[in-house]
Amino acid sequence: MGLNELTLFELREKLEKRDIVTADIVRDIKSAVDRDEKSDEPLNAYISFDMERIGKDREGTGDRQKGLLKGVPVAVKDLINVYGTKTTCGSRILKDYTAPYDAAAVVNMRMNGGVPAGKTNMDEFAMGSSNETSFYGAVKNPHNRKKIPGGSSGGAASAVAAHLAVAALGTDTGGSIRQPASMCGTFGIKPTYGRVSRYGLVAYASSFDQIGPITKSVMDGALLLEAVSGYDPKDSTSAKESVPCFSDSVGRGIGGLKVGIPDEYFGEGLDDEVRAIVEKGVSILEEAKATVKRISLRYTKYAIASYYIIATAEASSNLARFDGMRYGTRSVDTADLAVLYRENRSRGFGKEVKRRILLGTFALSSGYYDAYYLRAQKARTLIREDFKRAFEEVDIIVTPVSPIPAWDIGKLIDNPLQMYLSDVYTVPVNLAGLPAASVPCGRTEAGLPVGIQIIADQFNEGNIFSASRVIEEAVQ
Amino acid sequence: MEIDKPTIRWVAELSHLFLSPEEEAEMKEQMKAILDYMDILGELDLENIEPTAHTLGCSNVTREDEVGESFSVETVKKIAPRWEKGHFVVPRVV
Amino acid sequence: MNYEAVIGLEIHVQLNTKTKTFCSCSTSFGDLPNSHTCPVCLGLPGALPVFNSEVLRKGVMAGLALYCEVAEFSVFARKNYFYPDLPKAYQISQYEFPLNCGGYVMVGAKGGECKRIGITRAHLEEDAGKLIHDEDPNGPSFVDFNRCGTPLLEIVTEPDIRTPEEAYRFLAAIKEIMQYTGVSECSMEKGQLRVDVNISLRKRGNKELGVKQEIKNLNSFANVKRALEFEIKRQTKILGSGKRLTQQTRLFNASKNATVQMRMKEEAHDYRYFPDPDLVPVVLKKEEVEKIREALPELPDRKRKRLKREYNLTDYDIDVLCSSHRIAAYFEEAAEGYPNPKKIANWIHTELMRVLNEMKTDIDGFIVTPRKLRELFELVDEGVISGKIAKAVFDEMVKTGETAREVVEKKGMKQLTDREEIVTVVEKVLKEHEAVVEDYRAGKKKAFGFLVGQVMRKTKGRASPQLVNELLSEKIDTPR
Repeated sequence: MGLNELTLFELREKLEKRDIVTADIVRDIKSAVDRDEKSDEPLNAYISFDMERIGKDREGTGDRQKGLLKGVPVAVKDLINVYGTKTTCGSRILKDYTAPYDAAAVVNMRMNGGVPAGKTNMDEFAMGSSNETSFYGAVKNPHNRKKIPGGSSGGAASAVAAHLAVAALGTDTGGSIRQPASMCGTFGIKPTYGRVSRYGLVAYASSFDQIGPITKSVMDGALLLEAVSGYDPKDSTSAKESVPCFSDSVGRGIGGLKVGIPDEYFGEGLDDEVRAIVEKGVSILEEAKATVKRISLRYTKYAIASYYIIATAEASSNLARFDGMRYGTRSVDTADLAVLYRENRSRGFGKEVKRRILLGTFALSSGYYDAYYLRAQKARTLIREDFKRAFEEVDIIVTPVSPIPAWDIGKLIDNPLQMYLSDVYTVPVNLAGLPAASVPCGRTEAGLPVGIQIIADQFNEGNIFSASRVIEEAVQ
Repeated sequence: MEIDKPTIRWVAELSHLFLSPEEEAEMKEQMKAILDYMDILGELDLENIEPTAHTLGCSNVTREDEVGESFSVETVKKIAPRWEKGHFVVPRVV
Repeated sequence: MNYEAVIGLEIHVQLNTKTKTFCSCSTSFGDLPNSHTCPVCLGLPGALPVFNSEVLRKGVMAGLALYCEVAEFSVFARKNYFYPDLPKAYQISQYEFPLNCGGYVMVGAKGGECKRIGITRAHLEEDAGKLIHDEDPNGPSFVDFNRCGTPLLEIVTEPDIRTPEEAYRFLAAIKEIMQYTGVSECSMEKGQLRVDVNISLRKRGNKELGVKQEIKNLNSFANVKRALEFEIKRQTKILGSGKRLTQQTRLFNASKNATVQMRMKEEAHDYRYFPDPDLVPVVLKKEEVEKIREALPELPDRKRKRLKREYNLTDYDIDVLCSSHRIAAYFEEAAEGYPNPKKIANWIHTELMRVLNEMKTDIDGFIVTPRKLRELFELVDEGVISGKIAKAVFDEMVKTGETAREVVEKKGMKQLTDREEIVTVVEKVLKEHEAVVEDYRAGKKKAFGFLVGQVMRKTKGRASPQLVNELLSEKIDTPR
């Protein structure tokens, strides 16, 4: 069994005892990646795996075996700046961009002994739910290579599920950690907005984006989240909350924990198999002495509209800087300024990105701002208040992650609205800035993983870890 | 919400994106479907609701006026696609 | 003239903080291009802005000095447009909730009247990079991002200005206020103050505004005035011939002393302002604003009134002294408790300003402190030195930094009041210039002055002029 097949927790122990060193783990990962590349249908989970860079980073932090991670290599989604690595965001327009600085979360991770190892594939600029929009090719689901791994952190989830990575950092704006984690059968958590610094995370939708771990186990997730969290003065939206020891919550009993089941998440459109699996998860919590009650989050049906208007609006502005003038790829060099902008951007961006930029620009434009952007921001308030009220009655809210299990690659790529609607259970969490995780909860008849979503109130990730562990233990 | 060709073109121009006629037609259709869906927000009575710009509700995040580290010119030169005489080179403006 | 000019100004003042608005790069001017940049001001992917608290303080000070209402709640908004000097393709500015609004500036007019020019708003925003162009007109342009991210205060006036002269005075007043409050030096050469002008003409008596012409590329107050004068002529001619004007942006061409229509294709703009999600609102409590108000120096218009009243100075004196609040402060310290402040005021606008100009230096940290200057005057009053010698003493004080007394001692410039000594010199002079003495006795009164001069020369100017006069007179008028 290669070291790449162990959990972060297990490897930590071995590293501490000096049974192994980081390089040993990296070697095994590289072998696995090479094997997969030679297979019939490679997962295509990585955009780059720069052994030289990893070696330098390993020398810099790994061998010192310090902090929470003690030298464990961690794959990083290519949306995050890791000094010296190509950081493409899954796009052609940043094909030649090498990060000249480290994201704050990466700095934290290094301080905790984590070694960045490989940049994972993703939907272009994090816009997608299937990892099919990457310029570097689609990613496959390791449980069935004809199916999507989920997105936009598809590469990270696929790599962790297939042991091509021990653990990974993904990002979540509308479900991009939770949904691929669910579809690939891994654990994934999006922390409270502001828990992890966004400095160095290439912005898609600034008021939703968060970095979070995608791991093989709940404990791994707790360790990695703690390793990257913390207030950062370089991020004005970073929370001054102190970072608790999340691993303490793993294994804590949930007797008396109040669980809310929102009606609106179990209605029409939810696949029967998924429903059954999630309901099983709820019974597991009940058996562990949690109390379950039905609640209502009545503004849920407005979440997709509100989310996509705000996200595309922010994205249209955040992506305007990509024009090939100061960094990245200048595909066309002309003397005409307008042509340069148009050509670089039109050639550099894929269809989905263009679509969202157009939508967002439209939503902000004069004459439409009130009807779209402003209205969406107000609807957002209603959705936040839904959750506020709910958390006065319950401690966690449990729902499905995705209405359907992983679908075939290519099935929804030409139906963007349909694709957006599949985010129905994950986007409300981002609108409200709450923490939420996806925990593996079962498989469909066809063998596809299905995750269960656990949502907690702001800064209460502890409750999520406790409940997640209970489910993980029962399902193993 | 009817999205007509001039609007698509205008929005594409604002975003400096070029759409081929096929792309334009496809975008028009897809955007119409999406914007029609967005109209669901019209069902809500949002008269007295405050918009949410931030979920943390913070204000007054500032830093001191102290000089910190800047990039060396060498680093900046490495990033630039085109560089001459210590400057970024761009198409002529005016 | 049938037409009335309606003029509004849009002024960008660069605030003189040490670091940029949203990152800690230095704002130092004139250094190697692209040597003060970082991920934030270069707009690199993943970079985030953090607001400089000193920019807020200076923005509030400026707003208070303009008698604005300082907002309790203000928000940064993104102004989205593409241009090579704008790395993020949006400028962080303020739109719906500006920091300051509803103020005014009192502008002096000839004849001592004052006119109130309204300020619509004064908000904060970041500057863009600096574009320069290749000498070859077919060549590219170049960008230096050192300036990118520097804090600006954008001041927008009500269209209350009616003449080019008023516009000029208004700009001078803004500069003065900004210098007084210490938020900016407002040097147009260094790009610390930029002006765009809006002007339209309407028939006198009309309430509606005419068609607006916007004028850019004005690099001095004088050029603002000239551009407006040209515009008034140009627009009057067009309107007078019955034609209509279209809304235009024009550039001022200093060498031609004329404005020309911008040949560049005017990009239609929709800035799509929305609150910047990377920044949080600025909430100011009344107490905080009051604290800043307390730290405000006395503003120019109030200082002028007070100095005139307290020191009984003329308008001319006031103008010079108040041209900078540091000069005014210097004056007040020097004149404190001194019985004849006018003398000091005079000295400042003659000798002192001359020296400052020659040395190309500032009154801040001037080697002759107010105290030392006063001592110089006290020495004259005490009769230790003559008024004539005072200038020489002053020059020496400037050179060496010594006090007046020290200079006088060292150089032996003490006024010569010893009668015997003076008499000796007088006798000598009389002997050497017998012919002149004859002339004087013959009735040529002017010759007396010559003889006095000779005595002064021999005593290196030290002799007390009164005594010289007295003693010379004695000797010369004494019958032989």
